[in-house]
Amino acid sequence: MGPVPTDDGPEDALQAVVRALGASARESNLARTGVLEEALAALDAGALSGELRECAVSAAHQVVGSAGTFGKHRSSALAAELEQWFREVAPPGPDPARLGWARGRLGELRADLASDHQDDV
Amino acid sequence: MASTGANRRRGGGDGRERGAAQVRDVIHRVLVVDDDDLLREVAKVSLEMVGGWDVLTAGSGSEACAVALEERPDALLLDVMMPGMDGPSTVVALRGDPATRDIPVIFLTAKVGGDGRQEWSHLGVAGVIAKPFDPMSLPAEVAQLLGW
Repeated sequence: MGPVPTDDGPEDALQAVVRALGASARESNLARTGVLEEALAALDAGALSGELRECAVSAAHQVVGSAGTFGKHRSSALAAELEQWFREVAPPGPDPARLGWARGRLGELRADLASDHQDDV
Repeated sequence: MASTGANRRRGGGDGRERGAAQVRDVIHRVLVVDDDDLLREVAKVSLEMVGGWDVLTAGSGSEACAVALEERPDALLLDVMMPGMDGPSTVVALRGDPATRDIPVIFLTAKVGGDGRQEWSHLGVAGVIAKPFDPMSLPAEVAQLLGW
């Protein structure tokens, strides 16, 4: 995607580009939450593989960098919590309360990513 | 660093609006490396529009090594966590080639639990910029770390 032509200065043009790319980033980041959901389901079933755990860590990590850069700072912070949580979780998995906490955070993350608001750009 | 001929002097009096990062009248060439297409794009546009620099891109560590060898950029802005050859491995590969060993590298990372400066100090990177980054101030951060 090339620069968006505007009559304003480079900062204004850049903001327009960031907003345009942010729409695509939202879809990418929502898709990444699917990996987190899959990993939580596997954990709940006592079947979280090392590979899926690493995929969950990677997916959350990508959301941290992407969401915040495109103005979704709340999403970035939630994803960082989930990334750390998946790094630390170990078989056979957490107790139900901790699992519930992670599900809650994931729900918040999805809702924030799906919303139209941006904290700032 | 060996002279690459990558820098150009900007012509004077062209009336072009300049961003805050353009503290000197030199167009640098930066290689942005990130496996996230959208982040790579926003960093590229930021450095071009606000920094006024020329920007090359690569989507992986191995591609970055090839582009760096071919194009000899003035600096790399390098994601740390990438599939395959990650950021630190990419730096090791660059340092192992006399043609690319002196190119300054800045890590760009969303690494949880510290910014990794200690962990990566042995690699001799010029600095670390945290993700998420602010596209408006990214060129200024790069310029500050590199003394541009």
